[in-house]
Amino acid sequence: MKNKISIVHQIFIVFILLTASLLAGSYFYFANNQKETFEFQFNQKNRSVLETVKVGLEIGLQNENFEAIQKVFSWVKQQPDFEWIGIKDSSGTFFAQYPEIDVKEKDLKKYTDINMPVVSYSEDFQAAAEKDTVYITFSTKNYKEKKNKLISDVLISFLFLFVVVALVSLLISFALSRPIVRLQDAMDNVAKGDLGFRAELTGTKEIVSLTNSFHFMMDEIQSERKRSENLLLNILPKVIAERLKKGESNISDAYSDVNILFADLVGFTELSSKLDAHKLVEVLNHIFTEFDNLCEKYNIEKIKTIGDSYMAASNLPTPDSNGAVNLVMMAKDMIVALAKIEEEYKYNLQVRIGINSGRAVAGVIGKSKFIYDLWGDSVNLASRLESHGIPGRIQVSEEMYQHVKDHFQFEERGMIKVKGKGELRTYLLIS
Amino acid sequence: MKILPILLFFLIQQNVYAHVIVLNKKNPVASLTAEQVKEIYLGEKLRWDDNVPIHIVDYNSSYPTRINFTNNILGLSIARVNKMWIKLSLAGSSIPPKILRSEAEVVENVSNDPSAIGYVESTSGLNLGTVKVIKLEN
Repeated sequence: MKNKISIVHQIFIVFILLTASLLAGSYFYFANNQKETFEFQFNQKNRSVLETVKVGLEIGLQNENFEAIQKVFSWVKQQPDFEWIGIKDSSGTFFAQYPEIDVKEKDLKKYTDINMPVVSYSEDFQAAAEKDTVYITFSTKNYKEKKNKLISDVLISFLFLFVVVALVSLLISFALSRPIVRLQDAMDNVAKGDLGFRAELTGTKEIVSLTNSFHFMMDEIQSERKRSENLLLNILPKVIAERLKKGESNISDAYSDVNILFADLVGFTELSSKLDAHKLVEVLNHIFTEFDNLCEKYNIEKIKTIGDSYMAASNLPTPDSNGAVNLVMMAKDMIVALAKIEEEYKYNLQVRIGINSGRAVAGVIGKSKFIYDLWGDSVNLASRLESHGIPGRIQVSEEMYQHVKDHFQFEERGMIKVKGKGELRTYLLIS
Repeated sequence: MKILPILLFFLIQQNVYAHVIVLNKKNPVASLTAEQVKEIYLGEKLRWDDNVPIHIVDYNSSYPTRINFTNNILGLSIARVNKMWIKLSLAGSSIPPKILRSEAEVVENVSNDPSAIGYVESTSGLNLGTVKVIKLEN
């Protein structure tokens, strides 16, 4: 994944950046504006102080009214921004000042932000030349403190506003991205295997349309999956298919008592030389379809067909206490079914059936073209019972006979030779 | 005719020492030296001996009595004295002099203010009975 930032974060970041830049812009504009306003106010106020002093001193000096002059001085000293007052004589020295500081005219700028000669006068109040000059300076401390306080207050309120906006934008980003996140959750669920999961159809037009497309796609995937599952179930027993789906491979289960049936179509080889392949397959399909129906009817597991042979088993993979009886019933029905088909096609066809029961291993091996199969001596014996059987009859082993003798009538056929086993007793079903 | 220069000298002497100090009648001070008067008028002595603030009464800078008094008694220029009073006004620690227009006004002011001190040059036409007149001691 190239882009690791979630959509929630992306929306959130955009909101935050937008707000931050707006607030920062307003703040700097405000701060600058306030600075100018304060400076203007400061200058206005103190200029008017200077004007008052000037007028007061002029009147006082004109009348040589020292009381008035002293009052003017004492008034100016009480002004909130007052910093310093000094009187410079014609020789250039400040002969009087309050408070006392070591000041030269050229240093005045260092002591103050504003300075202005207020009024000039001659000491004898007559001579035009050799005048003294009054200087007053004002401190910007107060206005700077006021300005800083206001600016810091505004900064705090802006920060508060920023936090509020951040929270709101977090909520908005969640709200905006919720449908997408919901869809993403739905996809995650699907990815985990829950193909039936569907997202809520809410949100904007685009999201609803996207959700609908997603649902349509999931429906398609689900039906495809169902089809392939059915195909798998057609090939393999359900329990085995489930195990394979869950990831098991090379399934081989040992069974102590399974019933195995082999059926072979007698006369089919001869028929195959008479009929063309298509017709032959059609007939074979007809026969095996009937057999398949019987498997379903008696809960028998069809194992496979090999040419014109049909192999089935019972009591596996799920146990069936009637498995043996059901298998014999099915064998009987197979003979009946074939007789009907023989009548329909007018071909000379018979089926030869052998049934055995015993231990076997069943499972799925290999890595392609899976087939559920059976292995073991019992399987071989069942096959021998069929191949040594009689057309139109059902031949069973001693083991099978013991299982079903109470349900059916048998006649003893005698002993047959089985490779590696010697001679074994067999029975033929009567009814 | 020998008497003429003596008379002139006397007149000049009279002229030089024409200033008399006037105080309120309630003021307990009986005599003042020229030095004491100088201290008062230069703002160096701010209170009477009984600790009452001294109220100085004076004339404006162009008034001849003031000019003579400043030059002869204080021994300074008007400008110098004014400069000093401006300085004291700025410091705010003293009571600045009250400037009046005539000797009659000075006498009247002093007669009404127990802590006042003033001076006059010519006593003619003045009602000095309302004030205490003190001749400067050398």
